[in-house]
Amino acid sequence: MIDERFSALLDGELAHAEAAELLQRMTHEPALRAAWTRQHRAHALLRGQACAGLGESLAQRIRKQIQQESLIERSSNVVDMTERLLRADSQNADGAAEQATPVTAAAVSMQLVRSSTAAKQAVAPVPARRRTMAASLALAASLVVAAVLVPQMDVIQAPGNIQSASQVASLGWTGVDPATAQKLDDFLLDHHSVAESTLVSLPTAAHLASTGIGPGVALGDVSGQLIDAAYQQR
Amino acid sequence: MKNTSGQLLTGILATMLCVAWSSAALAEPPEQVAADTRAWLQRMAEAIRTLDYQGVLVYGSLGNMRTMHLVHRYRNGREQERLQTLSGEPVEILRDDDVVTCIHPRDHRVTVDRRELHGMIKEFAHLAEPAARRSYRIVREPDARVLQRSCHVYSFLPRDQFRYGYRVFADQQTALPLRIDTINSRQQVIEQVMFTQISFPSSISDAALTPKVDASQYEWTKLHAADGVHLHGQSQWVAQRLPQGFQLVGFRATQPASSNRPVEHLLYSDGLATVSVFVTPHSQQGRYFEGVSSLGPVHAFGRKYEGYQISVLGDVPAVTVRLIGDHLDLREK
Repeated sequence: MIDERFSALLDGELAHAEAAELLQRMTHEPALRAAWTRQHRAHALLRGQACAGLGESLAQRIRKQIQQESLIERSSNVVDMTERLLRADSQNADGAAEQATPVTAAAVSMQLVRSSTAAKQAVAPVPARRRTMAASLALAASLVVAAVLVPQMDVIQAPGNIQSASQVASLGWTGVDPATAQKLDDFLLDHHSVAESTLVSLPTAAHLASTGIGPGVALGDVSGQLIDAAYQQR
Repeated sequence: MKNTSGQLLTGILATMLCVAWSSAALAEPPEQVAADTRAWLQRMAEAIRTLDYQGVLVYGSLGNMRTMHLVHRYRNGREQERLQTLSGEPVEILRDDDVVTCIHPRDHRVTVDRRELHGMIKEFAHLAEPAARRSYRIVREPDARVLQRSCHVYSFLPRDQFRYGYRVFADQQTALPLRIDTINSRQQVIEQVMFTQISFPSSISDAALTPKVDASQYEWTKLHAADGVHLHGQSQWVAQRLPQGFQLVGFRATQPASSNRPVEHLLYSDGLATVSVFVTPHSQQGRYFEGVSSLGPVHAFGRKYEGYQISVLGDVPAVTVRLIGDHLDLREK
Protein backbone atom coordinates (compact mmCIF):
# COMPACT_ATOMS: atom_id res chain seq x y z
CA MET A 1 0.00 0.00 0.00
CA ILE A 2 2.72 2.43 0.98
CA ASP A 3 4.75 1.34 -2.04
CA GLU A 4 1.83 2.27 -4.24
CA ARG A 5 1.68 5.70 -2.69
CA PHE A 6 5.41 6.15 -3.13
CA SER A 7 5.08 5.13 -6.72
CA ALA A 8 2.25 7.60 -7.23
CA LEU A 9 4.34 10.27 -5.56
CA LEU A 10 7.27 9.57 -7.84
CA ASP A 11 5.03 9.72 -10.86
CA GLY A 12 3.44 12.93 -9.73
CA GLU A 13 0.07 11.30 -9.52
CA LEU A 14 -0.51 11.68 -5.83
CA ALA A 15 -2.95 14.39 -4.76
CA HIS A 16 -1.25 17.40 -3.29
CA ALA A 17 -2.69 16.93 0.17
CA GLU A 18 -1.70 13.27 0.19
CA ALA A 19 1.81 14.09 -0.99
CA ALA A 20 2.22 16.68 1.72
CA GLU A 21 0.97 14.27 4.33
CA LEU A 22 3.31 11.53 3.15
CA LEU A 23 6.31 13.82 3.11
CA GLN A 24 5.44 15.07 6.57
CA ARG A 25 5.31 11.53 7.85
CA MET A 26 8.71 10.79 6.35
CA THR A 27 10.28 13.46 8.47
CA HIS A 28 9.21 11.65 11.60
CA GLU A 29 9.28 7.95 10.64
CA PRO A 30 12.73 6.47 9.93
CA ALA A 31 11.26 3.25 8.55
CA LEU A 32 9.17 5.16 6.10
CA ARG A 33 12.17 7.20 5.04
CA ALA A 34 14.17 4.04 4.47
CA ALA A 35 11.39 2.57 2.38
CA TRP A 36 11.16 5.77 0.43
CA THR A 37 14.90 5.81 -0.23
CA ARG A 38 14.75 2.25 -1.56
CA GLN A 39 11.82 3.00 -3.81
CA HIS A 40 13.28 6.26 -4.99
CA ARG A 41 16.56 4.59 -5.91
CA ALA A 42 14.82 1.78 -7.74
CA HIS A 43 12.71 4.26 -9.60
CA ALA A 44 15.74 6.28 -10.58
CA LEU A 45 17.57 3.19 -11.82
CA LEU A 46 14.58 2.15 -13.86
CA ARG A 47 14.53 5.56 -15.43
CA GLY A 48 18.25 5.50 -16.01
CA GLN A 49 18.72 8.76 -14.21
CA ALA A 50 22.02 9.76 -12.74
CA CYS A 51 21.02 10.75 -9.26
CA ALA A 52 23.75 12.54 -7.45
CA GLY A 53 23.58 12.23 -3.73
CA LEU A 54 21.91 8.87 -3.60
CA GLY A 55 24.84 7.57 -1.62
CA GLU A 56 24.02 9.94 1.17
CA SER A 57 21.52 9.12 3.80
CA LEU A 58 18.36 11.09 3.82
CA ALA A 59 19.27 12.61 7.15
CA GLN A 60 22.60 13.78 5.77
CA ARG A 61 20.95 15.32 2.81
CA ILE A 62 18.34 17.03 4.91
CA ARG A 63 21.01 18.42 7.18
CA LYS A 64 22.97 19.65 4.21
CA GLN A 65 19.82 21.12 2.76
CA ILE A 66 19.17 23.11 5.85
CA GLN A 67 22.74 24.26 6.16
CA GLN A 68 23.13 25.23 2.57
CA GLU A 69 19.99 26.80 1.41
CA SER A 70 16.95 26.81 3.56
CA LEU A 71 15.93 27.99 6.93
CA ILE A 72 12.54 26.75 7.92
CA GLU A 73 11.20 27.93 11.18
CA ARG A 74 8.02 28.80 12.89
CA SER A 75 7.12 32.17 14.17
CA SER A 76 4.11 33.99 15.41
CA ASN A 77 4.88 37.12 13.47
CA VAL A 78 5.32 37.40 9.72
CA VAL A 79 7.50 40.48 9.82
CA ASP A 80 9.61 39.06 12.57
CA MET A 81 9.93 35.78 10.71
CA THR A 82 10.92 37.52 7.51
CA GLU A 83 13.61 39.48 9.27
CA ARG A 84 14.94 36.40 11.00
CA LEU A 85 15.02 34.55 7.74
CA LEU A 86 16.95 37.27 6.01
CA ARG A 87 19.25 37.78 8.97
CA ALA A 88 20.02 34.08 9.06
CA ASP A 89 20.81 34.23 5.40
CA SER A 90 23.31 36.99 5.80
CA GLN A 91 24.86 35.16 8.75
CA ASN A 92 25.22 32.10 6.57
CA ALA A 93 26.99 34.19 4.01
CA ASP A 94 29.42 35.30 6.69
CA GLY A 95 30.08 31.76 7.67
CA ALA A 96 28.41 32.07 11.02
CA ALA A 97 27.35 28.98 12.87
CA GLU A 98 23.82 27.92 12.14
CA GLN A 99 21.13 26.75 14.44
CA ALA A 100 19.54 23.40 14.00
CA THR A 101 16.04 23.84 12.70
CA PRO A 102 13.02 21.63 12.54
CA VAL A 103 12.86 19.45 9.49
CA THR A 104 9.67 19.73 7.53
CA ALA A 105 8.19 18.12 4.53
CA ALA A 106 9.46 20.87 2.34
CA ALA A 107 13.03 20.21 3.25
CA VAL A 108 12.66 16.57 2.34
CA SER A 109 10.93 17.34 -0.88
CA MET A 110 13.37 20.00 -1.95
CA GLN A 111 16.43 17.96 -1.20
CA LEU A 112 15.16 14.92 -3.01
CA VAL A 113 14.31 17.00 -5.97
CA ARG A 114 17.77 18.45 -5.82
CA SER A 115 19.28 14.99 -5.74
CA SER A 116 18.22 14.33 -9.26
CA THR A 117 18.69 17.67 -10.87
CA ALA A 118 21.53 16.58 -13.10
CA ALA A 119 19.29 15.76 -16.00
CA LYS A 120 17.14 18.79 -15.35
CA GLN A 121 20.04 21.20 -15.40
CA ALA A 122 21.04 19.96 -18.78
CA VAL A 123 17.86 21.35 -20.26
CA ALA A 124 17.07 24.37 -18.14
CA PRO A 125 19.09 26.69 -15.96
CA VAL A 126 16.37 27.11 -13.40
CA PRO A 127 16.53 24.82 -10.39
CA ALA A 128 13.37 22.90 -9.74
CA ARG A 129 13.00 24.20 -6.24
CA ARG A 130 12.36 27.68 -7.49
CA ARG A 131 9.35 26.56 -9.39
CA THR A 132 8.37 24.33 -6.54
CA MET A 133 8.65 26.72 -3.70
CA ALA A 134 8.17 30.18 -4.97
CA ALA A 135 7.22 30.68 -8.52
CA SER A 136 5.56 33.88 -7.50
CA LEU A 137 8.65 35.56 -6.20
CA ALA A 138 10.44 35.17 -9.44
CA LEU A 139 7.57 37.05 -10.94
CA ALA A 140 7.09 39.46 -8.14
CA ALA A 141 8.88 42.26 -9.88
CA SER A 142 5.41 43.21 -10.77
CA LEU A 143 3.17 42.26 -7.89
CA VAL A 144 0.21 42.23 -10.15
CA VAL A 145 1.81 39.82 -12.56
CA ALA A 146 2.79 37.65 -9.66
CA ALA A 147 -0.67 37.56 -8.23
CA VAL A 148 -2.20 36.79 -11.58
CA LEU A 149 0.15 34.13 -12.85
CA VAL A 150 1.09 32.28 -9.72
CA PRO A 151 -2.36 30.95 -8.89
CA GLN A 152 -2.38 29.23 -12.24
CA MET A 153 0.81 27.44 -11.36
CA ASP A 154 -0.63 25.08 -8.84
CA VAL A 155 2.77 23.78 -7.98
CA ILE A 156 3.01 20.25 -6.77
CA GLN A 157 6.50 18.89 -7.02
CA ALA A 158 6.92 15.25 -6.23
CA PRO A 159 10.48 14.23 -5.54
CA GLY A 160 12.53 12.20 -7.93
CA ASN A 161 10.56 12.76 -11.06
CA ILE A 162 11.17 16.31 -12.00
CA GLN A 163 10.79 15.72 -15.71
CA SER A 164 7.16 14.78 -15.36
CA ALA A 165 5.03 17.61 -16.57
CA SER A 166 2.02 16.21 -14.79
CA GLN A 167 3.42 17.48 -11.51
CA VAL A 168 3.32 21.11 -12.40
CA ALA A 169 0.39 22.71 -14.06
CA SER A 170 1.69 24.71 -16.97
CA LEU A 171 0.57 28.25 -17.54
CA GLY A 172 -0.96 27.16 -20.79
CA TRP A 173 1.53 27.55 -23.62
CA THR A 174 0.02 26.87 -26.99
CA GLY A 175 1.12 24.11 -29.32
CA VAL A 176 3.85 22.55 -27.23
CA ASP A 177 4.14 19.31 -25.31
CA PRO A 178 3.89 19.43 -21.51
CA ALA A 179 7.62 19.05 -20.94
CA THR A 180 8.37 21.99 -23.20
CA ALA A 181 5.63 24.02 -21.56
CA GLN A 182 7.26 23.38 -18.24
CA LYS A 183 10.60 24.60 -19.54
CA LEU A 184 8.96 27.69 -20.93
CA ASP A 185 7.35 28.33 -17.56
CA ASP A 186 10.80 28.26 -16.02
CA PHE A 187 12.18 30.57 -18.65
CA LEU A 188 9.30 32.98 -18.20
CA LEU A 189 9.90 33.15 -14.47
CA ASP A 190 13.55 33.86 -15.04
CA HIS A 191 12.77 36.36 -17.74
CA HIS A 192 10.38 38.42 -15.64
CA SER A 193 12.60 38.31 -12.65
CA VAL A 194 15.79 39.32 -14.37
CA ALA A 195 14.24 41.73 -16.84
CA GLU A 196 12.67 43.79 -14.09
CA SER A 197 15.76 43.74 -11.92
CA THR A 198 18.02 44.67 -14.76
CA LEU A 199 15.96 47.37 -16.32
CA VAL A 200 15.66 49.37 -13.16
CA SER A 201 19.38 49.83 -13.35
CA LEU A 202 19.38 50.49 -17.05
CA PRO A 203 20.87 53.91 -17.62
CA THR A 204 18.48 56.21 -19.39
CA ALA A 205 19.66 58.23 -22.31
CA ALA A 206 19.68 61.27 -20.07
CA HIS A 207 21.78 59.49 -17.52
CA LEU A 208 24.23 58.39 -20.17
CA ALA A 209 24.41 61.91 -21.49
CA SER A 210 25.13 63.22 -18.02
CA THR A 211 27.98 60.79 -17.69
CA GLY A 212 29.41 61.90 -20.98
CA ILE A 213 28.64 58.64 -22.76
CA GLY A 214 25.66 60.01 -24.56
CA PRO A 215 22.56 58.34 -25.89
CA GLY A 216 22.83 55.72 -28.56
CA VAL A 217 25.72 53.92 -26.96
CA ALA A 218 25.46 50.15 -26.84
CA LEU A 219 23.96 49.72 -23.42
CA GLY A 220 25.24 46.18 -23.32
CA ASP A 221 28.73 47.60 -22.98
CA VAL A 222 27.68 49.59 -19.96
CA SER A 223 25.33 47.24 -18.19
CA GLY A 224 26.25 43.87 -19.54
CA GLN A 225 26.90 42.53 -16.10
CA LEU A 226 23.73 43.89 -14.57
CA ILE A 227 21.85 40.75 -15.37
CA ASP A 228 24.41 38.83 -13.39
CA ALA A 229 23.97 41.21 -10.51
CA ALA A 230 20.24 40.71 -10.73
CA TYR A 231 20.68 36.98 -10.43
CA GLN A 232 23.05 37.36 -7.55
CA GLN A 233 20.59 39.60 -5.79
CA ARG A 234 17.92 36.93 -5.74
CA MET B 1 -36.61 69.22 -22.34
CA LYS B 2 -35.97 69.95 -25.98
CA ASN B 3 -33.67 72.73 -24.95
CA THR B 4 -31.83 70.37 -22.68
CA SER B 5 -31.37 67.88 -25.52
CA GLY B 6 -30.07 70.64 -27.72
CA GLN B 7 -27.64 71.77 -25.11
CA LEU B 8 -26.52 68.19 -24.69
CA LEU B 9 -26.00 67.75 -28.42
CA THR B 10 -24.12 71.02 -28.62
CA GLY B 11 -22.00 69.92 -25.77
CA ILE B 12 -21.21 66.61 -27.42
CA LEU B 13 -20.30 68.31 -30.68
CA ALA B 14 -18.14 70.80 -28.90
CA THR B 15 -16.44 68.02 -27.05
CA MET B 16 -15.81 66.10 -30.25
CA LEU B 17 -14.29 69.17 -31.83
CA CYS B 18 -12.08 69.68 -28.85
CA VAL B 19 -11.05 66.05 -28.95
CA ALA B 20 -10.24 66.22 -32.64
CA TRP B 21 -8.22 69.37 -32.15
CA SER B 22 -6.31 68.11 -29.19
CA SER B 23 -5.61 64.77 -30.85
CA ALA B 24 -4.29 66.45 -33.96
CA ALA B 25 -2.30 68.94 -31.99
CA LEU B 26 -0.75 66.41 -29.71
CA ALA B 27 -0.35 63.40 -31.96
CA GLU B 28 3.37 63.94 -32.39
CA PRO B 29 4.62 66.01 -29.50
CA PRO B 30 6.98 68.84 -30.22
CA GLU B 31 9.81 69.30 -27.77
CA GLN B 32 7.83 71.37 -25.29
CA VAL B 33 5.05 68.80 -25.20
CA ALA B 34 7.64 66.06 -24.92
CA ALA B 35 9.11 67.83 -21.93
CA ASP B 36 5.68 68.06 -20.35
CA THR B 37 5.12 64.41 -21.08
CA ARG B 38 8.43 63.53 -19.51
CA ALA B 39 7.50 65.51 -16.43
CA TRP B 40 4.19 63.72 -16.24
CA LEU B 41 5.77 60.31 -16.62
CA GLN B 42 8.18 61.11 -13.85
CA ARG B 43 5.31 62.33 -11.72
CA MET B 44 3.48 59.08 -12.35
CA ALA B 45 6.48 57.02 -11.34
CA GLU B 46 6.88 59.12 -8.22
CA ALA B 47 3.18 58.86 -7.37
CA ILE B 48 3.22 55.08 -7.54
CA ARG B 49 6.10 54.98 -5.11
CA THR B 50 5.38 57.76 -2.64
CA LEU B 51 1.60 58.01 -2.34
CA ASP B 52 -0.50 56.23 0.24
CA TYR B 53 -3.36 54.46 -1.48
CA GLN B 54 -5.51 51.39 -1.34
CA GLY B 55 -8.04 49.88 -3.65
CA VAL B 56 -9.23 47.01 -5.76
CA LEU B 57 -7.34 46.12 -8.94
CA VAL B 58 -8.66 44.09 -11.80
CA TYR B 59 -6.34 42.36 -14.22
CA GLY B 60 -7.69 41.02 -17.49
CA SER B 61 -5.95 39.23 -20.33
CA LEU B 62 -7.46 37.09 -23.07
CA GLY B 63 -10.24 35.60 -21.01
CA ASN B 64 -8.26 35.56 -17.79
CA MET B 65 -9.53 37.93 -15.11
CA ARG B 66 -8.26 38.39 -11.57
CA THR B 67 -9.25 40.73 -8.80
CA MET B 68 -6.84 41.92 -6.15
CA HIS B 69 -6.78 44.22 -3.18
CA LEU B 70 -3.79 46.52 -2.96
CA VAL B 71 -2.56 48.64 -0.06
CA HIS B 72 0.45 50.90 -0.50
CA ARG B 73 2.19 53.08 2.05
CA TYR B 74 5.23 55.31 1.91
CA ARG B 75 6.58 56.51 5.19
CA ASN B 76 10.00 57.97 6.02
CA GLY B 77 11.46 56.73 2.79
CA ARG B 78 10.17 53.22 3.32
CA GLU B 79 7.81 51.69 0.79
CA GLN B 80 5.43 48.98 1.93
CA GLU B 81 2.76 47.14 0.04
CA ARG B 82 0.28 44.33 0.50
CA LEU B 83 -1.43 42.64 -2.40
CA GLN B 84 -4.11 40.05 -1.79
CA THR B 85 -5.89 38.08 -4.49
CA LEU B 86 -9.66 38.25 -4.20
CA SER B 87 -10.41 35.67 -6.88
CA GLY B 88 -8.83 32.37 -7.80
CA GLU B 89 -6.01 30.92 -5.76
CA PRO B 90 -5.52 32.83 -2.50
CA VAL B 91 -2.13 34.54 -2.41
CA GLU B 92 -0.86 37.40 -0.30
CA ILE B 93 2.25 39.27 -1.30
CA LEU B 94 3.87 41.64 1.14
CA ARG B 95 6.59 44.02 0.14
CA ASP B 96 8.76 45.98 2.48
CA ASP B 97 11.13 47.96 0.29
CA ASP B 98 13.14 45.25 -1.44
CA VAL B 99 11.94 42.34 0.68
CA VAL B 100 9.07 40.39 -0.79
CA THR B 101 7.14 37.82 1.19
CA CYS B 102 4.73 35.54 -0.63
CA ILE B 103 2.12 33.65 1.38
CA HIS B 104 0.36 30.66 -0.17
CA PRO B 105 -2.37 29.70 2.31
CA ARG B 106 -3.55 26.73 0.32
CA ASP B 107 -0.08 25.17 0.28
CA HIS B 108 0.82 26.44 3.75
CA ARG B 109 3.98 27.92 2.34
CA VAL B 110 5.75 31.23 2.63
CA THR B 111 8.67 32.36 0.53
CA VAL B 112 10.87 35.34 1.19
CA ASP B 113 13.05 37.05 -1.35
CA ARG B 114 15.14 40.15 -1.35
CA ARG B 115 15.13 42.06 -4.59
CA GLU B 116 14.48 45.31 -6.29
CA LEU B 117 10.90 45.75 -7.36
CA HIS B 118 9.88 48.04 -10.08
CA GLY B 119 6.81 47.92 -12.18
CA MET B 120 6.11 48.95 -15.67
CA ILE B 121 5.42 52.57 -14.85
CA LYS B 122 8.95 53.28 -13.81
CA GLU B 123 10.09 52.13 -17.20
CA PHE B 124 7.63 54.40 -18.95
CA ALA B 125 9.72 57.29 -17.80
CA HIS B 126 12.46 56.11 -20.16
CA LEU B 127 10.10 56.51 -23.06
CA ALA B 128 10.16 60.26 -22.98
CA GLU B 129 13.84 60.11 -23.83
CA PRO B 130 14.72 60.69 -27.48
CA ALA B 131 16.30 57.26 -27.96
CA ALA B 132 13.18 55.45 -26.84
CA ARG B 133 10.98 57.68 -28.94
CA ARG B 134 12.58 56.15 -31.99
CA SER B 135 10.71 52.97 -31.07
CA TYR B 136 7.55 54.41 -29.56
CA ARG B 137 5.37 57.36 -30.48
CA ILE B 138 3.94 59.11 -27.45
CA VAL B 139 0.45 60.41 -27.97
CA ARG B 140 -1.42 62.55 -25.51
CA GLU B 141 -4.97 61.31 -25.83
CA PRO B 142 -8.09 63.20 -24.80
CA ASP B 143 -8.62 63.19 -21.08
CA ALA B 144 -10.89 60.45 -19.77
CA ARG B 145 -12.53 59.40 -16.54
CA VAL B 146 -11.75 56.38 -14.43
CA LEU B 147 -13.62 55.85 -11.18
CA GLN B 148 -15.21 59.26 -11.59
CA ARG B 149 -11.76 60.83 -11.53
CA SER B 150 -10.40 62.87 -14.41
CA CYS B 151 -7.38 61.29 -16.00
CA HIS B 152 -4.68 62.34 -18.42
CA VAL B 153 -4.27 59.63 -21.02
CA TYR B 154 -0.97 58.81 -22.70
CA SER B 155 -0.49 56.25 -25.40
CA PHE B 156 2.87 54.72 -26.21
CA LEU B 157 2.40 53.45 -29.69
CA PRO B 158 5.01 51.22 -31.28
CA ARG B 159 6.50 52.50 -34.49
CA ASP B 160 6.69 48.97 -35.90
CA GLN B 161 5.25 45.52 -35.39
CA PHE B 162 8.01 44.33 -33.07
CA ARG B 163 6.54 45.55 -29.78
CA TYR B 164 3.27 46.20 -28.03
CA GLY B 165 1.86 49.57 -27.20
CA TYR B 166 0.50 50.85 -23.91
CA ARG B 167 -2.16 53.32 -22.87
CA VAL B 168 -1.94 54.85 -19.41
CA PHE B 169 -4.76 56.66 -17.61
CA ALA B 170 -3.22 58.80 -14.89
CA ASP B 171 -5.27 60.55 -12.22
CA GLN B 172 -5.00 64.29 -12.82
CA GLN B 173 -5.03 65.08 -9.15
CA THR B 174 -2.46 62.61 -7.87
CA ALA B 175 -0.75 61.39 -11.08
CA LEU B 176 -1.34 57.80 -9.99
CA PRO B 177 -2.07 55.57 -13.00
CA LEU B 178 -5.54 54.13 -12.52
CA ARG B 179 -5.62 52.04 -15.65
CA ILE B 180 -3.03 50.60 -18.05
CA ASP B 181 -3.93 48.91 -21.32
CA THR B 182 -1.57 46.82 -23.39
CA ILE B 183 -2.48 47.15 -27.04
CA ASN B 184 -1.47 45.26 -30.13
CA SER B 185 -0.63 46.60 -33.56
CA ARG B 186 -4.32 46.79 -34.42
CA GLN B 187 -4.94 49.00 -31.41
CA GLN B 188 -6.82 46.22 -29.67
CA VAL B 189 -6.50 45.89 -25.92
CA ILE B 190 -4.91 42.55 -25.14
CA GLU B 191 -4.18 43.09 -21.47
CA GLN B 192 -5.55 45.49 -18.91
CA VAL B 193 -4.88 46.45 -15.30
CA MET B 194 -7.35 48.84 -13.73
CA PHE B 195 -8.40 50.08 -10.34
CA THR B 196 -12.10 49.53 -9.79
CA GLN B 197 -11.92 51.17 -6.40
CA ILE B 198 -9.34 53.58 -5.03
CA SER B 199 -8.89 55.76 -1.99
CA PHE B 200 -6.09 57.96 -0.72
CA PRO B 201 -6.29 57.83 3.07
CA SER B 202 -4.33 60.36 5.07
CA SER B 203 -2.56 57.50 6.77
CA ILE B 204 -2.44 53.73 6.43
CA SER B 205 -2.15 51.69 9.57
CA ASP B 206 0.26 48.86 10.19
CA ALA B 207 -2.75 46.57 10.44
CA ALA B 208 -3.65 47.25 6.82
CA LEU B 209 -0.25 45.94 5.80
CA THR B 210 -0.52 42.83 7.93
CA PRO B 211 -1.45 39.58 6.21
CA LYS B 212 -4.97 38.35 6.73
CA VAL B 213 -3.88 34.78 7.23
CA ASP B 214 -1.90 33.41 10.13
CA ALA B 215 1.22 32.08 8.48
CA SER B 216 3.01 31.29 11.69
CA GLN B 217 2.72 27.55 11.20
CA TYR B 218 3.57 27.56 7.52
CA GLU B 219 6.83 26.44 5.95
CA TRP B 220 9.16 29.35 5.39
CA THR B 221 11.82 29.42 2.75
CA LYS B 222 14.35 31.98 1.70
CA LEU B 223 15.03 32.00 -2.01
CA HIS B 224 18.49 32.04 -3.39
CA ALA B 225 20.22 32.60 -6.66
CA ALA B 226 20.19 30.00 -9.37
CA ASP B 227 22.52 27.04 -9.28
CA GLY B 228 25.71 26.57 -11.16
CA VAL B 229 28.99 28.35 -11.43
CA HIS B 230 28.63 31.89 -12.71
CA LEU B 231 30.87 32.67 -15.63
CA HIS B 232 32.11 36.11 -16.49
CA GLY B 233 33.13 37.69 -19.70
CA GLN B 234 31.43 37.93 -23.03
CA SER B 235 28.58 35.83 -24.32
CA GLN B 236 29.57 33.34 -26.97
CA TRP B 237 26.28 34.08 -28.71
CA VAL B 238 25.28 37.13 -30.65
CA ALA B 239 22.08 38.25 -32.35
CA GLN B 240 23.12 39.15 -35.86
CA ARG B 241 19.90 41.07 -36.36
CA LEU B 242 17.60 42.81 -33.89
CA PRO B 243 14.40 44.82 -34.23
CA GLN B 244 14.93 48.59 -34.27
CA GLY B 245 15.70 49.93 -30.81
CA PHE B 246 16.53 46.62 -29.16
CA GLN B 247 19.96 46.12 -27.70
CA LEU B 248 21.69 43.73 -25.37
CA VAL B 249 21.24 44.95 -21.82
CA GLY B 250 22.64 42.00 -19.97
CA PHE B 251 23.83 38.46 -20.11
CA ARG B 252 24.57 35.70 -17.71
CA ALA B 253 26.37 32.43 -18.22
CA THR B 254 26.27 29.50 -15.86
CA GLN B 255 28.29 26.34 -15.97
CA PRO B 256 26.02 23.52 -14.85
CA ALA B 257 27.62 20.58 -13.13
CA SER B 258 26.00 18.24 -15.61
CA SER B 259 27.51 19.65 -18.76
CA ASN B 260 30.74 21.06 -20.08
CA ARG B 261 28.80 23.62 -22.09
CA PRO B 262 27.51 26.75 -20.38
CA VAL B 263 23.90 27.82 -20.17
CA GLU B 264 23.46 31.40 -21.31
CA HIS B 265 20.74 33.95 -20.71
CA LEU B 266 20.84 37.10 -22.82
CA LEU B 267 18.44 39.98 -22.24
CA TYR B 268 17.48 42.43 -24.95
CA SER B 269 15.37 45.54 -24.47
CA ASP B 270 14.15 48.63 -26.25
CA GLY B 271 13.75 50.41 -22.92
CA LEU B 272 10.29 49.03 -22.24
CA ALA B 273 9.79 45.70 -23.95
CA THR B 274 12.18 42.94 -22.96
CA VAL B 275 13.15 39.71 -24.65
CA SER B 276 15.14 36.90 -23.10
CA VAL B 277 17.24 34.41 -25.02
CA PHE B 278 18.14 31.17 -23.29
CA VAL B 279 20.74 28.92 -24.87
CA THR B 280 20.98 25.53 -23.25
CA PRO B 281 22.89 22.39 -24.19
CA HIS B 282 20.28 20.00 -25.42
CA SER B 283 19.77 16.88 -23.39
CA GLN B 284 19.76 13.51 -25.07
CA GLN B 285 16.37 12.58 -23.65
CA GLY B 286 14.36 15.66 -24.36
CA ARG B 287 12.77 16.91 -27.53
CA TYR B 288 13.72 20.17 -29.16
CA PHE B 289 11.31 23.05 -28.88
CA GLU B 290 10.91 24.43 -32.38
CA GLY B 291 8.60 27.10 -33.69
CA VAL B 292 6.39 29.63 -31.93
CA SER B 293 4.26 29.24 -28.83
CA SER B 294 2.28 31.82 -26.90
CA LEU B 295 0.92 32.46 -23.45
CA GLY B 296 -1.46 35.36 -23.70
CA PRO B 297 0.56 38.29 -24.97
CA VAL B 298 3.84 36.50 -24.22
CA HIS B 299 5.46 34.74 -27.16
CA ALA B 300 8.23 32.17 -27.31
CA PHE B 301 10.27 30.83 -30.19
CA GLY B 302 12.56 27.83 -30.21
CA ARG B 303 15.04 26.31 -32.59
CA LYS B 304 17.91 23.87 -32.49
CA TYR B 305 21.44 24.84 -33.32
CA GLU B 306 24.42 22.48 -33.23
CA GLY B 307 23.35 20.60 -30.15
CA TYR B 308 21.94 23.65 -28.41
CA GLN B 309 18.35 24.56 -27.69
CA ILE B 310 17.74 28.23 -28.38
CA SER B 311 14.63 29.60 -26.67
CA VAL B 312 13.52 33.20 -27.04
CA LEU B 313 10.61 34.71 -25.12
CA GLY B 314 9.18 37.99 -23.96
CA ASP B 315 6.10 40.21 -23.76
CA VAL B 316 6.36 40.97 -27.45
CA PRO B 317 4.67 39.84 -30.65
CA ALA B 318 5.62 36.53 -32.24
CA VAL B 319 7.52 38.21 -35.06
CA THR B 320 9.99 39.68 -32.55
CA VAL B 321 10.98 36.45 -30.85
CA ARG B 322 11.22 34.74 -34.22
CA LEU B 323 13.46 37.44 -35.67
CA ILE B 324 15.83 37.36 -32.75
CA GLY B 325 15.85 33.58 -32.53
CA ASP B 326 16.45 33.11 -36.22
CA HIS B 327 19.45 35.41 -36.15
CA LEU B 328 21.18 34.16 -33.03
CA ASP B 329 24.57 32.80 -33.89
CA LEU B 330 27.77 31.70 -32.25
CA ARG B 331 30.15 34.59 -32.00
CA GLU B 332 33.19 34.20 -34.19
CA LYS B 333 36.28 33.49 -32.14
